[in-house]
Amino acid sequence: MKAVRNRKAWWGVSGLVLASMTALLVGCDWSPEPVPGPPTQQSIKHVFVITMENKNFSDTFGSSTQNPYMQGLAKQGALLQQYYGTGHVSLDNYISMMSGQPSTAETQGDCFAGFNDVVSIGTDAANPKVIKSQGGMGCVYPKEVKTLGNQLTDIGLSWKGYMGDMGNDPTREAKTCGHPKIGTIDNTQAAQAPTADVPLGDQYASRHNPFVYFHAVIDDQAYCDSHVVNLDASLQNDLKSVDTTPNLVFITPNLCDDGHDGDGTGAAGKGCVNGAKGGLASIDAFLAKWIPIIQASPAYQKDGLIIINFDESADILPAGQTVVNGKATVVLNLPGDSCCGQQTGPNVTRPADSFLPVSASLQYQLHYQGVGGDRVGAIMLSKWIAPGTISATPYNHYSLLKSLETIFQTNGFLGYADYKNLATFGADIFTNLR
Amino acid sequence: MAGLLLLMMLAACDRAPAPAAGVPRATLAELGKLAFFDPTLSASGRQSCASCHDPAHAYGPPNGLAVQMGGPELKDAGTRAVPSLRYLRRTPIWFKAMQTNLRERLTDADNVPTGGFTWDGRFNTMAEQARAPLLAANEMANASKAEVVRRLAASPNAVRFREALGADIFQRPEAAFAALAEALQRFQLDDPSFQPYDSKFDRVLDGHAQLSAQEARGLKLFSDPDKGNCASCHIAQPGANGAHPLFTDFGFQALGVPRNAEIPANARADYYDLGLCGPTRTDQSTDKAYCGFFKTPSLRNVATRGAFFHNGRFHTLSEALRFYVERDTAPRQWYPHEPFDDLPATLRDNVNRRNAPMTNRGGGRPVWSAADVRDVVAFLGTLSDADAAQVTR
Repeated sequence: MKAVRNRKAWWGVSGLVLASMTALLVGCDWSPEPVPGPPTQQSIKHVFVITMENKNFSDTFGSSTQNPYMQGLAKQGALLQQYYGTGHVSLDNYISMMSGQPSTAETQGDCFAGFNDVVSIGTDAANPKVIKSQGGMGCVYPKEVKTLGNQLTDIGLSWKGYMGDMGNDPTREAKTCGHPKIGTIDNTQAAQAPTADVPLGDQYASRHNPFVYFHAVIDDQAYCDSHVVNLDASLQNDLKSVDTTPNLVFITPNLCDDGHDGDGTGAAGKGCVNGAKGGLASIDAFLAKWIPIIQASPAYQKDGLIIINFDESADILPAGQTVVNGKATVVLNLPGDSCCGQQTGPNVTRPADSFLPVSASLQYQLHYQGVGGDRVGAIMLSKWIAPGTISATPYNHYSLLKSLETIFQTNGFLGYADYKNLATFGADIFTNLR
Repeated sequence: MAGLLLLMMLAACDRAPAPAAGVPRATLAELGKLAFFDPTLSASGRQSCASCHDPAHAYGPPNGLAVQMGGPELKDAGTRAVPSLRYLRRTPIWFKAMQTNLRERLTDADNVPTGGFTWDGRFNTMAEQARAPLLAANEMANASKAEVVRRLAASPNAVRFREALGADIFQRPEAAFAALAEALQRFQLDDPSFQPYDSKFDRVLDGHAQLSAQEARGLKLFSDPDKGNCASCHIAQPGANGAHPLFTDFGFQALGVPRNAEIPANARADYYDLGLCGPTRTDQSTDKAYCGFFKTPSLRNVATRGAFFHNGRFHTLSEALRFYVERDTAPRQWYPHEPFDDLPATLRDNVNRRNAPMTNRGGGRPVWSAADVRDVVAFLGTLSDADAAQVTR
């Protein structure tokens, strides 16, 4: 009791002193610097994600001679040897990265049949955050389905998607928040070659821009316009200061720069619509231009992390030819290897077959074996990652989402990122964090 | 580097290289207009660009002939129907997308070659295209560029060319010929008569008119993927910025249009016009998968024409539309002997049977009735420009 009284007395005196000091400090408009603790993953305040297209790990980080810069980058930071895509063919990967939602029957085909709404009829039995769609169909998620971008906005952090070529041809898509109208055919499925009015051509592809597949983003036009912008028109300017650099920078290069088009050889007829080589060669050129710009930015130098990944691999295994209903049928196995306990989800099944007519006498049978996007690998760069780090821990796009949510401390995890056994990026990668 | 070179080339297209460099665009367009209507540039002395590309007929042919006559005596027949020169400004250079991913290449069957000028897309710019008729033996029939320049130097417009391009321009035939092509391109790019956008459909889009009930039914039949599915290639929706549609995606298709005996070249049993594969175009002849492919034309002003498809096989719009929906349900009424008779037997598998309505097999019911066809014809009539005169045969 006495001790308590004495303590109260001490607090009384010290409280007066403290109040006086506070008044003094307020008067001086000065506040003490918080004592920094040891850095943690949450010390990362700016993440730059760059997603490339359709390459196998064994090519990108093995046999290829087209991407020496990229292979060198892998040695500057961490190489994630067991990073997997989560689907085929493109769009479902981007959607899983930014929302945790798995493939639908349409997103696994890049919504070629149209920019159609997902009609929710419930959720996955094992995860109430995963939408079960009507008929397994749909591309654009209803407003209640959030993206990482929405999560960041909710906690007062900033984000932007920077899209290569978006709006080059204003008749094709808008310069900001470019996407087809709901229910219409997506006319950005193939790159547009140069015209008299658009001498650069337009290689933007909606299906590589995850944000426009969510009503939670596109229904607020001003929000979408300010968050989903043209890469060349915006990024360098935004990188000028820490304050103008979004906490999350998501970069989608155009169809050539992300390696989707062209084989990288420069051979006639094997390049991109703008005459560039495409493939890993154009990926390399893109990274050689942008990575130094990002690394020189105040935000990256202060507390940045760069992640370079691929949406999916190009794995395909010819499995012979047969005759189905009188038609020559070439069977192609798609391994769809996955990791990390990836779920198929409620909207598609595996294994599954689809038949694609080529002509009156020929068709392809695509035999989807697994639900994954196969092994692609990823690179991560940061001052908190020691050069030469190699991680053999399996990760996938859901791991990426959960890791970013963990870094930014969002309110919970989205979709299949909310899976307790799903690993987040750890000490195997952040080797300079103690 | 290749990309840079291409960009430089394209930039040059729009800015006009030497010797037209520095010439004001309006002046260049004026020279192009003078040359476009000048019959003295042809060997016959009676054929100008406008003879086949008549401004009164939306810069398309003034008659319903399958092909037009040219040459020194105007007795040499062409091999393809003359297209309209309207609404070409947004045409991309010719390209076939090449995906890195084998699976996407194999499965992306709809990703067909795209763009370029003329039925086989062999010219990337209007300037390149403009050179061809001047030198073609069955068109304006000049033996060489130098001959074209000699005719230009002797033409009533020579003074204006000298004033604009230099007094010595005709002493430099290569430069003069290039400048002529650039001028013709500039005229087509800049003269508003090449893209008036003043059809009834344009007025409907602008809220100044309404489709009739029949036209509206026709538009629906035209666009419905389960009916005509025409809009999958002949894009009918406005652009992202509200740009009025051109009714083409610039893509190539093999439709299996029947052989046309009206074309003299077809008298030879071993002659086939294979579009992308030649014989006119020569750089894609090894890719047999695209033999028989021709570029999808704009449907603007289609209702004013008298010859349809690349070989002018049909002379009424209703017949052309019926061909689409009945080609596979009743092939015998279109092909006297065997289907796809304008292609060698080994290449007939290239014909599109994947996309509706060309998936409807023998004995099936056409997706359009006779009344439906009339409705679609009515709709297509709304795509005619205000000044476009109907061809009479």
